Amino acid sequence: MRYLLRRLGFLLFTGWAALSINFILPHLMPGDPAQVMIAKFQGRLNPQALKALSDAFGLTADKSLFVKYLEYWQRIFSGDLGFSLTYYPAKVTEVLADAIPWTIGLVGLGTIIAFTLGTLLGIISAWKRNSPLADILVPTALFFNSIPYFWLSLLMLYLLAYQLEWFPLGGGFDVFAIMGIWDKVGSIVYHAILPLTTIVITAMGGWLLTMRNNMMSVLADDYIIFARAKGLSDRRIKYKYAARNAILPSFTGFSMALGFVIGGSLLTEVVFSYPGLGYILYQSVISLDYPLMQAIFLFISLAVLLANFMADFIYAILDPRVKEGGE
Amino acid sequence: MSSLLEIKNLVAGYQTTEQEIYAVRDVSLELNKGEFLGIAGESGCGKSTLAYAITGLLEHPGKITGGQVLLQGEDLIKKTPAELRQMRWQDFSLVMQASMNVLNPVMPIREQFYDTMAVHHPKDDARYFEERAQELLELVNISPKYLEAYPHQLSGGMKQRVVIALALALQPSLVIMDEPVTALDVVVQRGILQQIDQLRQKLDFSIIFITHDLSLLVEIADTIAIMYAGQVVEKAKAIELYQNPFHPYTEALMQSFPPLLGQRKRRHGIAGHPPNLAIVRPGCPFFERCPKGMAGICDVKNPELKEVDSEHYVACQLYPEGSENTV
Amino acid sequence: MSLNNIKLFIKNKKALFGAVILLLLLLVAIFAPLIAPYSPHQVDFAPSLPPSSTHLLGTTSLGQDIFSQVIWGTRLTLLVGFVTGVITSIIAIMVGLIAGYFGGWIDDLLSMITNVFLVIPGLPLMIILAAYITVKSVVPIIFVISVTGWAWGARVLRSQMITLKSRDFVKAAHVVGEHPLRIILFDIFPNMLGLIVANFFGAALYAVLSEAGLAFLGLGNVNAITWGTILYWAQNNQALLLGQWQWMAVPGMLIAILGTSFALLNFAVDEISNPKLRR
Repeated sequence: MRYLLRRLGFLLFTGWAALSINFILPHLMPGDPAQVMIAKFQGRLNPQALKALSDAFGLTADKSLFVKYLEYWQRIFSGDLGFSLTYYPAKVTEVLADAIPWTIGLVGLGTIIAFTLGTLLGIISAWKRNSPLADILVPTALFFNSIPYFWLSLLMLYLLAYQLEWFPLGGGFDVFAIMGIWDKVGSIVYHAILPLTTIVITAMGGWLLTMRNNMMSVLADDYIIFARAKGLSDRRIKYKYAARNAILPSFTGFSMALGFVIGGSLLTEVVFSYPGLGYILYQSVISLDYPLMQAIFLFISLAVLLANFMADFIYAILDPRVKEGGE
Repeated sequence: MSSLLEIKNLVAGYQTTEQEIYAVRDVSLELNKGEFLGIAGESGCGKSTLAYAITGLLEHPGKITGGQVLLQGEDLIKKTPAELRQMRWQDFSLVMQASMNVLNPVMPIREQFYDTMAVHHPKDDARYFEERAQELLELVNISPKYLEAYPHQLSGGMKQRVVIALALALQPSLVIMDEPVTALDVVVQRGILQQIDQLRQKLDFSIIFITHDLSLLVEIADTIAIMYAGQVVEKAKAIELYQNPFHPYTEALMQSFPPLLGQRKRRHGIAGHPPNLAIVRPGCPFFERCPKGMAGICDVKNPELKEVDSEHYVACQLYPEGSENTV
Repeated sequence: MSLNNIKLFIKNKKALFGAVILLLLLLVAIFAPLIAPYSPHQVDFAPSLPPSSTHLLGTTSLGQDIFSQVIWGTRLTLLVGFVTGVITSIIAIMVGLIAGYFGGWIDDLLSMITNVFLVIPGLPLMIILAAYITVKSVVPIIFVISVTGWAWGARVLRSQMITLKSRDFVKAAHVVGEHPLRIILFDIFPNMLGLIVANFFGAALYAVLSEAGLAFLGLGNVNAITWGTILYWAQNNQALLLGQWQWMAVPGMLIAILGTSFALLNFAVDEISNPKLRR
């Protein structure tokens, strides 16, 4: 329990830090990016919107940074993140709400599949070490782990969607067809296969290597030798003794791995014009839509922190030692 | 007394890409039913490798390259892994140093008793397992309520007792103990040694007890073998060895701990280091550290283990076969 | 690293393979002017030519020789990888060693900062940072990747530091009254070299992939020639739809190959310095 309280404390602290970074970054940059943005949208937006925007960035009134910071928090708690410039007059929160389910679906499923497959292959690779199969798994994983996500997306898109026409060229579902609910679900699945495959292929290698190295360390531990001495079946030693212990560090290193997957899926979404956060982040970056950009970063950070806390929670369930306190 | 275990000319070692290590060099030993055989030697003399070689636990890059291990006349080395697994724990069991992770850290003690028994029990008889597990814990003076506990909730001494209880679960005729009381404090060591002795009287099994600490063996063992550089250099009844050590190495080991009776002299360790087991040289391996070494004799020929007194074997040029005289 | 480790390194197939790839790419970068037939900026050729003997990889929509761009791109791509790897390693070493050595509140503070950077997702932060920076050049990109990428190394080095600190030879140096800096530099540092080297290659891999991702989004200086920016232009000129697939395939493959060589070296050094992984 103490462990989880500590992790909760850390969650709150990191959340505060991430949100503060989000606030302070535009103020740290040379050349005042907010000013640049206002200049860019001058004449394109109505004066009222521009005024609201300048207020939101604290440009009109000559307020101290601290007062702006307090106002920033006020806006966050009131859920008012302003207007998106690219999707004007839509509110930032509305744009986010449309995009979030797509990304959560993609990243969530991608992570679960990649974690499961990678971990299983990692177990095999360590268990069958010195066999040809295991020998080939490690370099293969290293290679797939080094492929740029967006490049693999492009190749898949070109080969499987453009050339072979097996899959759609992009989007989240077929927007033009009029469909019943099940057809729509089918269409969503159909559109998700390629981006999902990209994410799984590139993310799997990381989990494989982590699990393999953990397994290798665990297999040298005394309880494995002792389990063999007891005459337990290979299957039991492999899963209940080795893998069961080796999987624990995967949860402590979860945050970094998840960071990679999110980064990768943002780029994948751009390539597949997938209507998630990555795609609108890209739109906001090329059109200097700072309010939307800030909000996306804010949401992604909080989502990762929450996922991380969940990983801590699972870890606490899986490892009886953390209940006594201590990490 | 009839012979339970016969080790004949056992050769074992490790073969890595960098070097070959000859850890067990032509070791022959015999163990009778109900006998307590102690094996002592400094760390790095090959005694743990011997334990793993006997129990068939030597893993790649470790390898047995010659000899026989006959348990009740059957050669364990010739057994297939499946046959060996059938015999494990039923016929012979192993007690390892429990200060390390011998028990699976994420599994309750109960389950570790259950799975040990389940391997050799055709029926998954939970009632029987529970009764037996409780009985075994009581045998080593631990309250059965600790079946609920995880290993990290037990003290070092308790863990060691649990491991001993596990080793007796299927009433094997032979228990091999590899440094079973190392890293425990002296009082706990004593308690556990006494317990081992009592259990042996009660349950009538044979023990091979491997330790770096010769002083532990003198009181409790029937027979003691001294290992140096992968070889048995002396073997005799415990009392005989204690009162009348022949080999200069045994003498040196004796002087490194206080005598049980009589005058206390200054203790001193043995000068120099044990030889590197990757190198095989002609001559007696102890020659360089031996105070009585004879140049031209000891560094030329490696002496064989000979019976120089009744049931007192020594491998040293100082003792011609059958003589009782010291040179 | 001791002599023995160097021997292990040569005998390790992964290490050898990674080192050979890296060396080849380094040679290409150094001798780029000799290898590339044209200047990468030269726009005198017919646009969108397919691969031929004069233009091994064809030409861009602007009429630049793609092969020459790829060869020249090796330079900046490797430079970004190495420089970022070095900067990231320096930050990680300083934070990790100081936190691990001094312990107490210094450790608490630095570990807290490290953990925050560890959980804040890297690429989104990089994208935001790069979008705010109005100066278009490679330097801010290196800065951005370094700032977001040091935390993992710091964490690993910190725990190694804590392990080493409890070793006898370090304790002995402490008792003798040696200066902490001396202890860190002469007693501890050599024992961490394997980990530091492994960490450097990990950081370089991270840098190369991040640079490619940012360049692909058009962040940083898209006119500087790296494999990432070549991909950016290929994508913006719809290379695949125009049938110029080699414009897309080759730079991306090279990124994956360079990344694999860094990853192989990272993995192999890890394997060599940790005997448990080497069975």
